[in-house]
Amino acid sequence: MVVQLSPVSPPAYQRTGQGHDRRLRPRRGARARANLWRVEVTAGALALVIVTVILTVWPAASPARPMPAGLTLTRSGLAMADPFSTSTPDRQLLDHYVFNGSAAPGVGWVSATSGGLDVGIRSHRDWAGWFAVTLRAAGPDVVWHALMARPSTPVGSGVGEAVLAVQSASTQRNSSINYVVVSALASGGKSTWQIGSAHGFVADAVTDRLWQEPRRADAPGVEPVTIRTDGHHSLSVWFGDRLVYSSHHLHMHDPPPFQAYLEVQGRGISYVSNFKDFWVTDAAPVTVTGVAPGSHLTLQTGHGGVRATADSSGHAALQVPPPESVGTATLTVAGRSGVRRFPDLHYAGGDVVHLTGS
Amino acid sequence: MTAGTMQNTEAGELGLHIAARTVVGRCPAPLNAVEVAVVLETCGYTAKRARALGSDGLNALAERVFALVPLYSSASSRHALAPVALRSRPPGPLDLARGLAYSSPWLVSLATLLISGVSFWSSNIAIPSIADAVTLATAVALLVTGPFIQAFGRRASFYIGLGDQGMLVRITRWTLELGLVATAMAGVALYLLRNGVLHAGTPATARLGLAAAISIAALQLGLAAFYVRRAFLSIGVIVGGGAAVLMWFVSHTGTYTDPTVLIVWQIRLVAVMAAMCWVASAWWLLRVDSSAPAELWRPSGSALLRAVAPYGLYGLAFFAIVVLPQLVSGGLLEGRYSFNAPFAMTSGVAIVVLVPLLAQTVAATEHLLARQFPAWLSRFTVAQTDEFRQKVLRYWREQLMVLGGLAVLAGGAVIVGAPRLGATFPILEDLARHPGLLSACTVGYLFLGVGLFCSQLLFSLSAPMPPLAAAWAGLGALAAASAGAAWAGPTVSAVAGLVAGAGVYACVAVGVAHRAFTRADLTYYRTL
Repeated sequence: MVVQLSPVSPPAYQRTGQGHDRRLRPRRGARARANLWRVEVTAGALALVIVTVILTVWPAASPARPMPAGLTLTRSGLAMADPFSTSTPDRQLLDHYVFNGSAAPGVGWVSATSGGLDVGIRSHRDWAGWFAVTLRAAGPDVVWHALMARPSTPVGSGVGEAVLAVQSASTQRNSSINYVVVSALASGGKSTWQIGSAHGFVADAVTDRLWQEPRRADAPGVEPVTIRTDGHHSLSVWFGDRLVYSSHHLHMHDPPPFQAYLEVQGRGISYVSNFKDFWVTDAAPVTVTGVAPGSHLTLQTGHGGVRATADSSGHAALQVPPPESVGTATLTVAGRSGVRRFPDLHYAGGDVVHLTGS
Repeated sequence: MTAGTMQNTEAGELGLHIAARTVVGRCPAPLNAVEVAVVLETCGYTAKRARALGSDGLNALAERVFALVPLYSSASSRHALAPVALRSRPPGPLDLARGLAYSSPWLVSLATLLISGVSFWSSNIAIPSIADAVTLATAVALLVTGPFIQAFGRRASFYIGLGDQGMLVRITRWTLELGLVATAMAGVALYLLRNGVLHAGTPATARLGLAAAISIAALQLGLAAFYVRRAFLSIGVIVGGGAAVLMWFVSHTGTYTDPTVLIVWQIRLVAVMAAMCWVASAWWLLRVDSSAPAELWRPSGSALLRAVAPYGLYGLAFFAIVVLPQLVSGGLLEGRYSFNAPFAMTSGVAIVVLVPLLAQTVAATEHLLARQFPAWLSRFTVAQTDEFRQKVLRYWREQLMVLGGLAVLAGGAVIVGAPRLGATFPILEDLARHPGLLSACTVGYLFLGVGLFCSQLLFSLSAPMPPLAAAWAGLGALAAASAGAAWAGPTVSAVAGLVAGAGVYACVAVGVAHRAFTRADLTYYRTL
């Protein structure tokens, strides 16, 4: 047919090649350019994941611990540590703690100075409290410690209480408030230290008092408090190196893991609790690996020495007393090849330290 | 050649071939006789001229010409020829159910939240500093990406239809990729403002907020290609997989989930999901079987911008109506922001009413474009405007009534049912404690759904300016109402803004949609 062999009209848009559907004619390099774009997108997607991971790295809950030359920290037992020895803005503290309490907004406050972490409550009528609670939880086999202080000024009218509580983190799921508590209670010009176990739901927990010092005007205002509990039957509390309470027959219903509450409570007065040298670590011994079998190891802390002998696999377990579970010590390893000393070792219960070059 | 000669020539077979050649020149691969009729009509073929060619009318001529098209179209174009159904029934429950697929990521997210208490970037255990950072990041991501997603959705489907890989790459760069860059810049600005100037939030949550803004935006932008391609099964695999990972994570954390660890892994999971979406889009969903087009086909950047700008600006205003009340509830008008949990909970539940409304919007719009318009076009010529308008108006009113029925059902279910849920589950107690707030938010989101429905139908008529005007009028009303109610506190101010903004948006959208449908002509093909 003539028409089919020779179109009677020219293409509508000659320059674009319409009628021959020029879109479908391959253009040089088009496929390569499209593949290059796909590679770009893939690289961008990978970059997105990497940038997200970097931006979301959360600050460590304990400071870095440089090891002496010849030792490598292969596992850290330290769950949390905050010496509270420097002034720190609240917004920085909030990366690791939440501030809350029964006190009205503006009544409770928290401030970290070079003198420690102050948790305070302004004067108010009813019984109310304020606390800094750790975001991280730990337990059951951990040791909790803080140097805890109440104001040295005697409390005349009103009541003030400094509190260190180790509370079941299951509150988040079931609203139960079960905890063990060490507190310094001050009223009527006298004060006392107490140990208790509390149970409650949502609010107003009831405390069973397990131990109490006599109320007196010259009760110590500062105590290094160390707590170890399984949350069920066992609770031990030390003031310094002194074991003041221990029982393995309690019924506390305080399931692990736990969070620490650094707290103040009071009525009718302004009151402040002060905390320093706060740490939480595994209750396990400090383990040294890579030691020649039969070597004798000594960890010399400020409170005495702890000794152990390396077994046939080159492991030595140094069981430090709970109140001294975190500190600075000198490690001495005495073997056939001689004696090696490692001063200024920042150790913590549960650490696994590898000896190199032995 | 004289007019008389032309008449004589066209009266024969040659006239039909000339018409076929003309049609192929304008439209290389017409889908059906309807499309041929439209091209012929735009080329000046009238009923009189059709009769001169031996046909009863323009549609009959189109059918004869359509039969000749394979002689003149190229081999590949011939493959594109496919018949379409020219009879159409109104959208039914199946269409509505299919429309629900559009909300599938949202529904999966809600289900995950109800089951495990944790969703992709929210949870019931978030601490205030994290909640502040993440809700601000979500707001930034929605506000900035909204315009780019709207623009991409509009043009990408066009270039996919054309089989133009080069332009598809170009439009992806200038919408989705630029949207991600813009969100990252907005996130950095927010980070510098909060962390460096205002010292709000914590250092770690400030960084986390930046990561959240980028990864949430990346996920939203990454899912855009899935929506354009209607790859809902793939969306289900990615979103469902993410939800499964989250639920596994929460179930393995025991009795306590550290909120900082949780949010870190939530954001990282969202980033991984987003990365998967982008890679799948580039290597699969946005891959079309063609080479690049000739240079002459490539529009200039300014032409492209003019084409997508109304859709982008509409997206900005629409998402502002969604997002701004949340910021106002946090104290935006007082120059601060702190997460308002009761407002977030009530508005977060009330917004569920949008699910059936969105499904109806999708069903009505897709039915209109894919089935109803071709059916009408096979019956009416461009000149038969009155009859066509009557049909369009009837369709519009019927679908609006269906939407109204769904709105009443969904609104009633939320207003009556949600407070009961709140009384049963302690975690939802804000629903029982604030029934008035819940009702007001529900009404606001119902208005928003109506406005969205009208806007999408108008977009299907290629009429972006009326929805744009409606959305910006709504945004203006939101700002005025929020400012006017600021004295009553952030929560009242936020809900007043939401109801007023969405209400004005809906009213204006209904008005302009009615006007547009009353004046409708066969402009459907303007969308090509």
